[in-house]
Amino acid sequence: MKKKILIILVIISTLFLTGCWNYVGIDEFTIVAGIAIDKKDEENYLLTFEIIDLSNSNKETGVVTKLIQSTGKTIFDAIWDARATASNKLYFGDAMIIIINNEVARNDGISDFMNFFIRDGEIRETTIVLISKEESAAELLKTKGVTQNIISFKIMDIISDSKAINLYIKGIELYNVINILKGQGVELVLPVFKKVISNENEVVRLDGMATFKDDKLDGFLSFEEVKYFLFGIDEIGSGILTFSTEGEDNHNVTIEIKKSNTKIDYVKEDTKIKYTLKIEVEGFLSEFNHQEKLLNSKKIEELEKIAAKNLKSRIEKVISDIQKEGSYDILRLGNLIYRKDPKLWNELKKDWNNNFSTLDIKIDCKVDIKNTAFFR
Amino acid sequence: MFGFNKKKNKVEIDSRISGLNRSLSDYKLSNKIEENIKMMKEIFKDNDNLKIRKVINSSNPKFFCYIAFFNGMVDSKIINDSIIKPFTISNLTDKDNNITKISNQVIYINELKESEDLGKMVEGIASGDTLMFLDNEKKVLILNTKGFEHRAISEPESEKILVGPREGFTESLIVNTVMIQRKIRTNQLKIKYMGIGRTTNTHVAVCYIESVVNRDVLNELLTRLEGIDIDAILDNNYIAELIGGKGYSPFKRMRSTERPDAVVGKLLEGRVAVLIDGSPVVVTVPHLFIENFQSPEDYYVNADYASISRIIRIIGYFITICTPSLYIAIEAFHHEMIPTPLFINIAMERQSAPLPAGLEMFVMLFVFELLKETGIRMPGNIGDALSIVGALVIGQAAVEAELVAASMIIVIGITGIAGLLTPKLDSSVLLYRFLILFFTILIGFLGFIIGLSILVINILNQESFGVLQVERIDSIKPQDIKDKFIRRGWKNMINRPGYLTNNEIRKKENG
Repeated sequence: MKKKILIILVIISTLFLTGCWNYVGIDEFTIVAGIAIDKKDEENYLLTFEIIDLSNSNKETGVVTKLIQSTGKTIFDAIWDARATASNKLYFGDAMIIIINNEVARNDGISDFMNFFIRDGEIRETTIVLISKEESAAELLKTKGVTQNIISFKIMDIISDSKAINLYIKGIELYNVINILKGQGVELVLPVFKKVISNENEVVRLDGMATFKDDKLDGFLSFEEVKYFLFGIDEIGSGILTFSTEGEDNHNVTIEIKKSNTKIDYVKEDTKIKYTLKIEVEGFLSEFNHQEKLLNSKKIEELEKIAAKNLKSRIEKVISDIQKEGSYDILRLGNLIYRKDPKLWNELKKDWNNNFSTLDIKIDCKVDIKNTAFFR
Repeated sequence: MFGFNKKKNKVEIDSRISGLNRSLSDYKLSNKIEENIKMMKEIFKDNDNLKIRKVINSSNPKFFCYIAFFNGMVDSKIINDSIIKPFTISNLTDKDNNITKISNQVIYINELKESEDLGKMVEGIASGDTLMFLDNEKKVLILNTKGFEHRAISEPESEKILVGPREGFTESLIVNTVMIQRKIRTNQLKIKYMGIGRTTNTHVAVCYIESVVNRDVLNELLTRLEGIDIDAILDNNYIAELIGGKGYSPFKRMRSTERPDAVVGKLLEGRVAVLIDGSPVVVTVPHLFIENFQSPEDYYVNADYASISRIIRIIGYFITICTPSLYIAIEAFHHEMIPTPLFINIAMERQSAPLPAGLEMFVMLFVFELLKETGIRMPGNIGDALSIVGALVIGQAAVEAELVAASMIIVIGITGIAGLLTPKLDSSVLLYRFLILFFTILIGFLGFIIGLSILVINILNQESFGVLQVERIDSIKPQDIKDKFIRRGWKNMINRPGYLTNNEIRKKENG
């Protein structure tokens, strides 16, 4: 009998352990698609929400969005302030992006408001965090979407499809931002967007990535730099490599990357630490303007060598640039030591970021052309 | 004044029917034929269907008899050719006036009985026999002349199939038993008759194959049938409800079908069939839960196709129960589950709907049941027209008037269509659909799971004549699974289901 009562109590208590058991109809929400964070003045944040305008959306117009703005001393304060305008509960379950003003990120750092986003239960931890290069982050939300009425979703599409459309970028989710901020031997790199005029409309455009020192914005990487930087952190999914052959018959060659694999290794020699980045690329030869119709294996081998040489020099350049500019360890090299040899890391930890610029990094490239994509 | 009239009417009826209040035991047959006939007329007083005719022998006019029968229940040809004609033209002497001589040498009837028992006489004449009263004879001849009209054998409307036998049971018990017997040509087939119902005295036939039947089930069934005490049995459902088992259950405990081939299939698996006179529906026991999803057609088409159909029916059963509550759970509790474009879509739809989704679902489900019921009750063509009005006009108009969200109509549509897959489970579908929906509206997905658990527990606890409707996993045999969710080919189904019969071998291993 006692057992039975116990079992019933256990079952009943599970009722109170679940979340989300209040009935809230879908129409009682204000659906937020994206958030832009600016500063109104020294003290107050200015938040801009892109919300789905349900009353004006219909089959003819498609989904229409509206912007609402609110201010507050903290992020949460500003969100409560927004409820006064929206008259409904703001729903963040479908919020895709958080745009941060570059000035705010540079001066105040981002850990202040990241704190709220990660604590709050309603914001998805897969929300993408990015930096606006414009004067205010809200500017991006005021642009016009090309294929999407909702700007936030458009930006999200650009980021999530970037691998498929050969844009070199790495979207960082909210939880990863926190992980990196708290992580050892790793620094944050966030995607950057700006607005451009295209066909008389203002549209958003991807513009490389921003590097961070701790939680403060430090500098920007251009498109081209990001591409070779991503080789360094093994985040290349697909893409293309273009280069020219040497010698008299100078031809442009394009290789489509099928698979890329970067192996990072380090050796400790006395007090110095030497890194080796072994990059192995598999690809298809997709463009080769050459009169010779048949490529023999010797010729392909030759091309592979030229490609590897090219790739190596470019990656080396980007990495040495990063080192020269005095960035922190955005290549996540310190993290490798932290994982493999924590004792050594504890010794190095203190001066790691300062010593990063003098770190000896050797790059080793190998390109493997699997397929010439050539019909005889 | 009104009251006075009423009282007067009552008195009149009383006096008219008073004669009927005498029970049969008050009557006695006598040696005098005229008295017997008078008594007969009194027993069946006020029933003008009773016909009594005097037949006189032509060679010996002193020699005569009376025949009594119910008009319409007898085959007139048999009475004319096999009773009246031989009796009239045969050369009879006074000596021949004894019942044995008449029954053996004069009339041509395949089945006859001599009887003094008034009960048997009344039962006989009421079921279409002819009674022959002879002069100076206390015994009466009960002659089989049954020959009433019955519906021709046709395909059952409710269980139409694309391929396979098209015959269906009729309302005539004897025709039904013949249909079974024609398919099982062995002495192992047993058909036992019983009379159930104090007033109707309905014939009920219990049918089984002796070599394969599960005797426990047979005994249990016979005990329960004998225990029935009710005035009338008009359809199989009377019996199904009376002997189905203890307690309330939304599930069927006996399988009912109008198809002889289905019944024979069940008999061959060791089940027992109960046929009721006057009903084209035959019930078989024990009933397993999986039978709700099986169709006779499964055995006439390709095994793979049949297996897929069965799985679809099973999925359909859960879809029709769960879809409304699942929609509510996601819509009102777990918005994060919906993909963003769909979320915006639903939000736009819901923006204009006046009722909260949960209430709207209840109302729409009710309207759907309303339309379904009306469609069934309406005769043929009107029913079709009505369902079109219901589906198109009301659905479309409601969405356009922004009274109901379009997504709601889709959910109701899926629910309704999936529900048609398992007509045998209708009552449980209705009960659990609303029960789970109610729980879901209260506490969301948790309530949904609670409701679903109750459903599953209820299914697992179902019993039919001592056999669990869903087999326990520890007692299941590989052979039994071959004809459950899927149907294997006949080459692979070597044994009969072990829990139904002791005689398991269905076919030879390598045959």
